Amino acid sequence: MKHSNPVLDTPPKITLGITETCPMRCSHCYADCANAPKPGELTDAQWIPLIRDLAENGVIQAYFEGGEPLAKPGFLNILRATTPLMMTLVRTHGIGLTADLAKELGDIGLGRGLVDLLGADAATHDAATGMLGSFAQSTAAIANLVAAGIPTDVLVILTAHTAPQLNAIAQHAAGLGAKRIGVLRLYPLGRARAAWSDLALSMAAQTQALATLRMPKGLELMQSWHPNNKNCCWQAAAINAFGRAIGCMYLRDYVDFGDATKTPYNEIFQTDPLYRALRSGDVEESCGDCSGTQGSHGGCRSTAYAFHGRWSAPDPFDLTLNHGVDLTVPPPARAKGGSGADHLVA
Amino acid sequence: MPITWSLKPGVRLRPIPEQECCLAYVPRPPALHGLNLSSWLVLTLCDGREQREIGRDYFDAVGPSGGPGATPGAFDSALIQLEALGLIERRAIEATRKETA
Amino acid sequence: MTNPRDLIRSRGAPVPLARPIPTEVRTDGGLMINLLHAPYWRGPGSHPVLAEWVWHLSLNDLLALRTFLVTPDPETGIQPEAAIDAGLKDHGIGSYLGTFVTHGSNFNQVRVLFGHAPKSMTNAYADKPATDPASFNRLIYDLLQKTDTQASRNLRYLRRLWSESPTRTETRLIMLSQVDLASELSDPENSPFTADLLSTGTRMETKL
Repeated sequence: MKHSNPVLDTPPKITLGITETCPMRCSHCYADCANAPKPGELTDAQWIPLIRDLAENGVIQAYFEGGEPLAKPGFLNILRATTPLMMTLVRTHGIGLTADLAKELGDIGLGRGLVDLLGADAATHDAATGMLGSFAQSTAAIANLVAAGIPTDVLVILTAHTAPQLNAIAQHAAGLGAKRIGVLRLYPLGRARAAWSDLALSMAAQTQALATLRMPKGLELMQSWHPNNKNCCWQAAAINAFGRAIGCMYLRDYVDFGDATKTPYNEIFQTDPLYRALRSGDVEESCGDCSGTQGSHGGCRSTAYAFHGRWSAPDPFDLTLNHGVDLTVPPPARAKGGSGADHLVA
Repeated sequence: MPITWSLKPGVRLRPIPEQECCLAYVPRPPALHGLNLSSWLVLTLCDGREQREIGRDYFDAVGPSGGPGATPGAFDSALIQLEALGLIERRAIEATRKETA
Repeated sequence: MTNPRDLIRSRGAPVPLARPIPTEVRTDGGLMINLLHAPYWRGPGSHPVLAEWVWHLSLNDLLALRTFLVTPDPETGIQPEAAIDAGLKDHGIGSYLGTFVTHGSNFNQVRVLFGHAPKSMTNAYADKPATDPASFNRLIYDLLQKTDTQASRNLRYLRRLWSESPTRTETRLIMLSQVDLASELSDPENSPFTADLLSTGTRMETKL
């Protein structure tokens, strides 16, 4: 113990899980999304003053995700209110993201688009999303964003289904003009935990899949992901669809730091004991890569907690810190807790 | 011809003194940039004054503490970078006078 | 301290740097983290030989050395480490990699590291060029004699601290993959002890 992460007094960036509404039925959906907005989701009229308040208090970048942000009623109003104040990124599956909508997003001043692909072909992608025609729509969305002049990335979650198609997905992304591809690890959250046995890969299989990835010319690979498993808690801030401060969307099943519509986010950031502890980097074990390249320690706190039940545990997705944890075995459900130091020791 | 330097309209700054840097957001075209201490200092000095004055202020500030940011050429390279990123804009003095006349 | 002027006063001014932040998902590698600043001078490149001066300093002397390293020359405005590196490059010696202090229990040990690119020595009968790692000392000596340059002045300062220390040592390291180790070791002129063992028995085969 007694490692320490870099320190921020207040968060400069935030993730806004703007809705848990989505037209698709992805087998791995972390938010367990539904077709209609869930009770208690903030409306656009509630989001806009909250975002303005965040901007006044030092947040200079907002990363919108869901659910499907584009399915959020009034989302364009939210985006319109945000772009003069902050750099904006929107993660989407691209359903309904037509050329006209892409142009409108560009006119509003969207900084970056990130589109998920769950396969390199319609059969794989549509099977994962549970929606026929979704691959065609996601593909069109990438092309439309690129045509609208919005820097666009393709995201792929590394599963048993996507691993054999990584290179084909990268080729597809490059062909559409995407700037980067992010190969994200699978988290045991929401429906993904229930489908874990079907989706999860062993550490060796993940490593193998990434080792065989060959980047097409002009496409960059996001660097902050597996196998570079950083502990990024120190810079993490997030609010879920219901206005709750949760630090990081990957902590959505495990924490609730309070109501960000009632308590200033900076106050939650500075006072919640668990939030502070997660950012501190005070972990049981640290690997040289994380500490050497980012000055952070122990890898991702979400998967550390999911697999070990201790917030200070080593991240089993980290090659150095795995210590024989079988990543294909679903971790047990962890109770969702409130804030408080009682969560520091499971 | 002497020139003045100013922050571009719409640019928003987010100092992070605890990490010795500053983030700067340019809304059009949207981009987020990171500035280290020396570039951050130059940016804060670009308040519409002449380059010579800003440079004098800069070297007054960095001179006593030294470091590579105090070497000749450091100030000019900071201006070049900040202008290329769309964070500051130059204006020729004559043009300014004509506009205000 | 919340403004760059105050921070620079206590930390020194780094080479100005402004760049786009490559935001990723959740995290990014782009937020400038206050680890250690990168070297101020040009990249060292690849050198088959490293030379190292090692000695110890008291804490006060260590602080004085640090001040020396970060203070630009009043005449040229050039920081000493940048000047030394430029001097080594200009004289074809190699690069100045930096002055380091050991981090941890042995905190007051100072190491000055140089990357050296020795001139190859060839002759009509040689199959391939032979390197001359010892050329570093000759070339550094030549540079130290050029008293009119800042690089020479600054380098002499470091060398004087080294030479005044009773614990001083000096080491040259040769890149293993680039040296014909067997030939080097069997040459009695370079390595009389190992050459003798190699020529008289097989024990060294095991040890090697």
